[in-house]
Amino acid sequence: MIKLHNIEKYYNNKIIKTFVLRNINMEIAEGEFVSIMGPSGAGKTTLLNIIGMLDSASEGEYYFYDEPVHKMNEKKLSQLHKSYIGFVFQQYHLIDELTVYENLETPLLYQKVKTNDRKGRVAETLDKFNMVAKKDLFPNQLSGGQQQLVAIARAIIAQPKLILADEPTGNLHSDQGKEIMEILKALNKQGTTIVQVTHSETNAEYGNRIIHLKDGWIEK
Amino acid sequence: MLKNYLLVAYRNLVRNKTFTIINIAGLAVGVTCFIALTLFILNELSYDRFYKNAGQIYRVYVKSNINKNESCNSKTPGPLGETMLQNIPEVQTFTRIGYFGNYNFRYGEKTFTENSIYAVDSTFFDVFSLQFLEGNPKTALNRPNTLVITESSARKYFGSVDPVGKTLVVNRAYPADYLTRNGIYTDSCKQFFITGVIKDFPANSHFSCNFLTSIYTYQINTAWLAGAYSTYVVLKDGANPAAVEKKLVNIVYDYVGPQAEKLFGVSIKQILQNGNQYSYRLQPLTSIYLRSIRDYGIDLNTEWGDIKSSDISYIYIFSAVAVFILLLAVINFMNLATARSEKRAKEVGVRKTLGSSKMPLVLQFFTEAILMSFISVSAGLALLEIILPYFNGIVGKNLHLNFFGSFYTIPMLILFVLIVGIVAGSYPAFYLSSFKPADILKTSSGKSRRGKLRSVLVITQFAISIILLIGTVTIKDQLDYIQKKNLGFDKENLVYINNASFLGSKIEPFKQELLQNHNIISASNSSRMFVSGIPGSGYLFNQKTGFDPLSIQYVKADYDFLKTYKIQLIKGRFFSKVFPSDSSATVINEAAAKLIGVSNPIGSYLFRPEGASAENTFKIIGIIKDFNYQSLHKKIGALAIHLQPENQSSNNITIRIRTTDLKNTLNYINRTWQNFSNGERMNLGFLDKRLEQLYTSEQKTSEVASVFSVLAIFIACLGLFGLAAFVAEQRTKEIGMRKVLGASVPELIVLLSKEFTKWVIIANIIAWPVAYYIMNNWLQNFAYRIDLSWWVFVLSGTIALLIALATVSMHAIKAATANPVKSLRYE
Repeated sequence: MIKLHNIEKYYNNKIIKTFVLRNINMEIAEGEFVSIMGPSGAGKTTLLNIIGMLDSASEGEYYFYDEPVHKMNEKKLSQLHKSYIGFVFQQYHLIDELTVYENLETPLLYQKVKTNDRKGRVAETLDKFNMVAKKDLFPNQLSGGQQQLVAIARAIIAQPKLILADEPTGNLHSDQGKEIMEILKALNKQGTTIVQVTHSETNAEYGNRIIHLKDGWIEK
Repeated sequence: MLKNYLLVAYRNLVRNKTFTIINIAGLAVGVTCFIALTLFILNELSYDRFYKNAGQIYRVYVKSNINKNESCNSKTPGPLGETMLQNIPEVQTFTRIGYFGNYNFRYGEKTFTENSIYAVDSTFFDVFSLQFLEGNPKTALNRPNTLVITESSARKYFGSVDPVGKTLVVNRAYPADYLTRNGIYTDSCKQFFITGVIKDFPANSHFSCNFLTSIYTYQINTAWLAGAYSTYVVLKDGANPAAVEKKLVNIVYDYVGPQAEKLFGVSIKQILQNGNQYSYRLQPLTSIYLRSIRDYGIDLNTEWGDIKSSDISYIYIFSAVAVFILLLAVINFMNLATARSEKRAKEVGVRKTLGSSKMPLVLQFFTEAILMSFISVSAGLALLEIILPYFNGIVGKNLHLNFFGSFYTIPMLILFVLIVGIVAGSYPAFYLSSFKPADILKTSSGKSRRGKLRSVLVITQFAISIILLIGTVTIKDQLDYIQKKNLGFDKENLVYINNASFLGSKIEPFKQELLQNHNIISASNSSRMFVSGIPGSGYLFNQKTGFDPLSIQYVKADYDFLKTYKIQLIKGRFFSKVFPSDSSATVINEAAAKLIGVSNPIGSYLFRPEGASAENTFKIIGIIKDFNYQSLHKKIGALAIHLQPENQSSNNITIRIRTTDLKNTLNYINRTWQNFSNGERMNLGFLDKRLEQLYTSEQKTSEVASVFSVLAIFIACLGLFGLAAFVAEQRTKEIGMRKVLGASVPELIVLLSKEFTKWVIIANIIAWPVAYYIMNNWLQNFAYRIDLSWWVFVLSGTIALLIALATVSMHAIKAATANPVKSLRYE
């Protein structure tokens, strides 16, 4: 599904190049649950962003379903990522001005899903996450765990093949964290590929493969 | 999708009340000003355009330059129109307009004094397509003593009765001898027969009057060198006015020539050889109201009293102000949007990760801006309803926004909403939507995005405000100068009566009766002054023929003139009853003495060439100090004063009074008047008030400028207030940290205000030269004007700075005095 070949990421600061990622080579197959681990500043989030097409690599090749992402224009990228990829962030990143219902609805709007179909899918997802009662609340009326639940619901509502989670439990206490991880695991069982960035060994264990990053290099 | 955008937009508006209110209030005020000024400008530009074939109508004027004495006269000789029609094939038709003084009209019991009566050709309505309510425009004015009256005059005299066929009798309030002598009263004009009623002239017609009579009611003045009528011609469709002007050259040679030769003793060829010029020119009808002075140099003194005139420069000024004010409000919107960009950036990032590309985001921000614009324009229109009466009061118009008055109004308003929205929203739309989600979402609180643009915008706003302020102060300063300027006479404690011709030969006893009151110091009967239209003539100095006449204006005044006005005599003497020969004497002003150029002109003669009878020969007996007998727009010209005969009253009596017991003095004047005038009402006024009216258009501009500069500053400060609130909030943490490290409150206030101060100072540097250029230009309208002084600039700049600082420091103080523990714990 994902092939990264000699990916490099650096920032040109005047004369000095600051490297974030060095010579990354990896493959992720469909149905995997990969955890990326490593100390702060190792480049975990950058790697995740490149996989998620939110950021581009400075050098190297990236194939998504054998299509060369590194050669695509913005329109194509946006097309690709909205149909295949869902994101979950540490800070949840819900849209504050929208209710739970409307937050869930938004990705479907961008995919131009028809009204009836859209309503059905939002209702189904709300039901699945036990959030029907909270559908008209705004994000700031929810607890952190609940917000992250909404964020996950929003990430999967468009039925992506790939979910990218950046420290999804980072702001949650352990019980809530566990709940979120269980959900991710269940999704994976149903066939969704998951890549998560995490600090926690426990959470990393939910996955079936761990990639260690240090100073931008993959540790063998 | 649109619903989603509108929801977010709406919730953003509700959630950020301060920003919303600032945005909407600023934009609404801006929109109100813009629409009000636009209505004003459109009205000014609409003058005379409603006449059918307005583009083919021209007024003929005389452009002459004789002995380096340039003048453009809007009055033309009587036979010109007919001659043009016969000799120039492009001319389709013409009409003359003449004026022959005021009348007392009586119908039944009703008597009114009317001074808005013009004599015109029967073709008048072919030229000016006015709407007839009664009567036939083709035949209404083809006989002497016919009269077409306006609807409102008809109502005044006849109520609901049909006036056509009725007769207005001329009341003999004027002594017959006065009228005969002035060529006004002939036996034929004892009564007028009403043959038509027209709708009142539209307010945006440069020419308007209440009565139109046939030009053949009076004897036609056929002299080619007299300017007795204004002449309007209609050219055939497609005719070239320049070609017509060329053909007019021949008319000068063929018709003016012989009469000039007879008068001056030299042929027209000779006269026109030495760089002299005498030509008939065409001025488009639609240029008369706004461009007469500036583009055609027409001497306003030669216009009829009822002609309305403005200046295109006011259109420019008001347009600039309108655009500026709107710009200020739009800038606020952009500014606050950038200030909040960080908050919105997160949303952009999230939406992009959810699959949005750039375009939907651009659309989203435009939707928001247009929604805001829609609300603001609606609020602005509501506000307009409230302020329009006041605005009308200032500009002296009756403007209103009629939504259904024109097919274009509502589409234009919608377009306006869209344009304002798109301009205001363009920056946030393109700037915010270009954010990369990976950059924004990386950290919870991104680094502060201080746009350079923001500073540019604030500087622009303040530069505009400062320019308006400087303009306002300068205009006020100039008006103040006008008020205080020494006019060469004492304008205080003078009252005037301007319908005194009713007194006729009883003027002298009337004056004597007035002087019985010890609070009345003196009274003088003279021609009217301080009006446009003080007549002038070519005078010859010490010679009876020649073609180097001196252009000198003249007025008539009686023996008490100098004493009443307190004008200083420089040389010789003023008129005196001791010398009966003074009826053919003249007193000139310094400017005239200078024009004559002889070291002592006293004892020499001035000749008026017209006719050269005894009455046109004047012996110079004295020189008086220059005084401003017309508005300060004009330089004091050469002036000759002739003696007003003691036994006939001109229209104007000026009375010098003591202010003690003013009420009784005025009552006394009124009683005396009643005794002498057979119950005719007296028009009395204070001269200083009358002089103020000379500057009403400046007064208007001044008021408009003050109102709008205050609004401009208000809008700019509103924006600054929002910006300061935002910056203070953004820097709460920094301030807390600095406080912990030992910064004092004043230091923090300085820190927070420094940037804004810098901006306002830069705004000053930009505004000063621009304001200098504009105001210097404006002052050229006055022959007597102030110098632009540096303190106006410094004052305006300082005011702007202080207001800005006051606005900013409110937030700075709040932020600086806040408990650092709280601000640091936050997050």
